[in-house]
Amino acid sequence: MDYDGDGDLDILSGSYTGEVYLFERTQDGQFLQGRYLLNTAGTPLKTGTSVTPEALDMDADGDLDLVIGTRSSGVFMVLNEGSRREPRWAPEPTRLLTAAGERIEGSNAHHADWDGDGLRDLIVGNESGGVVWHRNLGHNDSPSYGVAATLVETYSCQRRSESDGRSGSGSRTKVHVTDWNGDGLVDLLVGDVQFLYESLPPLTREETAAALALQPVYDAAKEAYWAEVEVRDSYVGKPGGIPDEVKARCAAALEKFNLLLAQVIAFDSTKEHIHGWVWLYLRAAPEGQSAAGQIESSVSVRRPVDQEEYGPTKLELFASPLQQDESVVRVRARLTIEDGWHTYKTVPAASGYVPMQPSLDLPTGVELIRDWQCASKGVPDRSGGAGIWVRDQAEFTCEVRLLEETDEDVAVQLEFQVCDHNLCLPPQTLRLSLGNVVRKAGSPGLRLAKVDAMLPRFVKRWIPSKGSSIMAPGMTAPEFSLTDDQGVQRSSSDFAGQRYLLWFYPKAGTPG
Amino acid sequence: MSFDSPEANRSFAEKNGFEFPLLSDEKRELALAYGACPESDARFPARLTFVIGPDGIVEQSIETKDPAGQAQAILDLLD
Repeated sequence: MDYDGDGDLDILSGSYTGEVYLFERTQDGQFLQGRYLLNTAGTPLKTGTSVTPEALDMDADGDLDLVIGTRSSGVFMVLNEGSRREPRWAPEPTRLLTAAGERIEGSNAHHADWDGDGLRDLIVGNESGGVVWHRNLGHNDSPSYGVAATLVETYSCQRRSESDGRSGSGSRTKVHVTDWNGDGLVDLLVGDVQFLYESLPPLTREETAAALALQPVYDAAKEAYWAEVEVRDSYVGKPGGIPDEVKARCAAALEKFNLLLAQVIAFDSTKEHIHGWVWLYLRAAPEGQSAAGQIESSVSVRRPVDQEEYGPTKLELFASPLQQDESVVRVRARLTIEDGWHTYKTVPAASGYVPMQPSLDLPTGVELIRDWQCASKGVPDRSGGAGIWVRDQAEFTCEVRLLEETDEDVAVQLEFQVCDHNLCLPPQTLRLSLGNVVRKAGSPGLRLAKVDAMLPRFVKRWIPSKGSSIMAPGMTAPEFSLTDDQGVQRSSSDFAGQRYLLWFYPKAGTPG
Repeated sequence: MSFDSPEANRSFAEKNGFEFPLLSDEKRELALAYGACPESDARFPARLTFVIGPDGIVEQSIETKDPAGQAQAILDLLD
């Protein structure tokens, strides 16, 4: 990415420890030594561990902000308080939440228009694998994220062999959305890490003999190590702590054990491999055509419900039920304007120009619950008048609630005038339809007849779930006998006849 | 339950005033048995919580999605 708007491509990199590095490109095409990005308080940006940054303009102020995924503490936004050429990072990162106020979680966050409605959605990869999609229910300059919809199932931690074949992306997923095959449908690229084992050929007679000879030596070293560990643990909680000499003996025993362990592993009949793959999830073409890739059902990108052209403009109508409340339909009217032409968001008093004015024609049974809002900022009229021009694209959204079935269509009208520098076309009113309100098949819910046919169908599961090896309710709890933080041996039998709770936490001294 | 040494757990417990024992599963045996890690050389166990009944049968198996917010939910389950 071009960090400082100087026309060359720099590199932004996250890191395991949580800082974000900038590798700036110089004029001769070399990269400078990486440096931390600092916030305006002078401290390195840090939102968690194992971070991945993405730079994009989140608040439509013309500069690039950062969205940072972290391994375990969520997705954050760091606003740029400087400019496109001289970024200055806000001292406090903002946690990204869904519209319902829930934390958005993910080790890797990527903004892209996943459903083809012209709005940047949030696609999130995760430490434990899988990919989810948060649909943008707001605008591009003020996103509002829907609940997470699964695009790729979470990776099951079941042990898999190389010979099982590759069944889909694994853990620690990193995501990117792009139209890989140029078919006009966006596809999903997923990077991962996977641990697969391989069965090796049987040992030769000599190797078997060597392995057998090694085993008692290895067992002895293992026992010696655990004996030292026990001695060490016996000092835990006592005054003076663990003597250095005991620690040193423990470390020496571990070193000896590790050497032998490596030799024993060399004779193992299986071998572990760490893989980092990039998976391509291609979207199937609409109308059920088959497409390459690991896909179980077809997906179609959102198409407009209705559209009409007028001169250098095209008006498209999109609509979709909200994820939280399907009786509410979000309606979006998008006017696309050819190069060199403009419309008016506001006009100077008594100018005679006609500003864009959307309206709804609602039958009984449908009510407007959120009035039209214009998502396009526009630019001031160059001639110095008080008007605001909109070029390229003008967008309006509103929300309606479906209350009862209707025979009449829900219609949207847009009145506007389009001009170039020399002439204005006569003001025009385009009228588009969303269809009437009908009952959903087999459910009490209502839908708009035309909208339902246009809704995207998403792949819910691309990877067959292999189940999980995690202990499930109803299974007999494994027994244990382990040392606690006071050096006391605790066994499952101590808790016999009682209800108890076992909590696995990643590491002492870390939150949660 | 973690893969830390008893010593590391002790300082963790003292720092936070935990009133429950922190167990060291340095050999990863219990974590493997519970499916909390895939390999005996795993660096960390997954954040999992299990409620075991008086009869030694697993009653609840909970995957932590939100470390900060889950404690109360689990306490509610135990009530």
